[in-house]
Amino acid sequence: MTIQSSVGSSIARPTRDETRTAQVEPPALLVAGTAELRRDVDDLHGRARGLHRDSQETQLSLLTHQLNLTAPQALLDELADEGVAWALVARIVGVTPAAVRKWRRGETVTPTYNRELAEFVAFCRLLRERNPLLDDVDQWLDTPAASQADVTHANLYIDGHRAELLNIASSDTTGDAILDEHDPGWRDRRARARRWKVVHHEDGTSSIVDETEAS
Amino acid sequence: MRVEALVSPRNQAEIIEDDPDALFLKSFMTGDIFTDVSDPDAPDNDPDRTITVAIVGHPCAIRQSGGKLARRVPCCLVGVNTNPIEFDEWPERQFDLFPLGDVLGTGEHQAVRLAEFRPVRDNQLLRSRRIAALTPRGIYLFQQRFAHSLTRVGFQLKAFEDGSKHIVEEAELEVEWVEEFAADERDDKVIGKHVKTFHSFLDQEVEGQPRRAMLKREGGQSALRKQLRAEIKRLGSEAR
Repeated sequence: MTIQSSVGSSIARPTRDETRTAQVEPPALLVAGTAELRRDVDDLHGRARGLHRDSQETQLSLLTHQLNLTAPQALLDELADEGVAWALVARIVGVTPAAVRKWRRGETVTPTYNRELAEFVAFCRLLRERNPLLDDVDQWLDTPAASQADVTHANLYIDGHRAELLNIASSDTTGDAILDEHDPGWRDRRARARRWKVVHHEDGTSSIVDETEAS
Repeated sequence: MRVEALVSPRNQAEIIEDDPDALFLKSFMTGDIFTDVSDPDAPDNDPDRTITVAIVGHPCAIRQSGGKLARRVPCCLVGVNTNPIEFDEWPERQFDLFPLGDVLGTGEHQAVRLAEFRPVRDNQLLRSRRIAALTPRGIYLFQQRFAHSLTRVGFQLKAFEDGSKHIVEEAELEVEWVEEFAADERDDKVIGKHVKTFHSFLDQEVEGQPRRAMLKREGGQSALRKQLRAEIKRLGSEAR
């Protein structure tokens, strides 16, 4: 573009890409900036989760340490008062039901199993702390933890996700999220048995029937 | 062909209970193995011909009220498996067998022959003749394999667990009760008396329903377990 000067000669004005200072950032910069922010938040979230998990594990470990000094009979009595089935105690601790039966009758519990017992009692106490509305620990442990799989809270305990289970109790996470993190592919491998259903008859007997038939 | 629904155990301890104390105190259940039982199929009813059998009927079908066995109990023969298989081969072959290994003390590679039936009289199935029992998971595995043997349908294990869980739970409460009052007892009749008391406790009505009904109610099992443990404590302190 040219303009005519007063002396008759023309002056070339430099061309400009922009007529004013940009008020809005280009979209590419915006995407890059938000991606960075998201990464930072994810990182912070991950660190917070890790710290929280560590602190829960520390709390569980300290309480376990204290309870480990308690006589095994007292630990078993506490579980009895809680209404926990001995078969479940055996599964959790990793022994046969016969071994638990013998412990209850006063036979010696090895230090390793005494610690497992102490940890389970500590876990039950913390579970109630996390969710005071939880009425029945035994039933809760036997409840499915994930939406589409036959995985119970007890299964997650046995698999070692103890601190995370406390988060499930306080509704801070879900069984699905725990399995997604630790067991990718669980949805395929642990799919809930869906084809059959048990129906109970009036005379007290039960039958296995096709699920669609039962509904 | 591999039947994926059929579950293979990891080891023997997962399915078989061979603790002698437990064998005397536990209630009669599916998968219990008895030895020295008179063979109901013996020629000329020869009482000296004895066999080893496993109960195959569902717990509801083998017992009457008060925890007593039914007059005739559906059982299958236990014998040698001449071609033993590994645990991970269970879903692949020998569908008419439930392998037991050598824990019975009656020889190596024993197995329940799921297609050889025997209706055994209740007076033959004594606690003193019981040489092995199954763990709860063992019972569900046994039922799954037995159902597949009869129908060739591979039902999911969870279905069997759902169908028998309340009975397995009742059996565990029964053993908890009996061992509290008769831990060192080895007389079938004395144990039978305690079993009867236990079932009377279950039949007592609470809020218009027998306690037994709690076993089928969600959350009812642990509530019943607490009641039972409180009753054991009460009776224990009364006895003292």
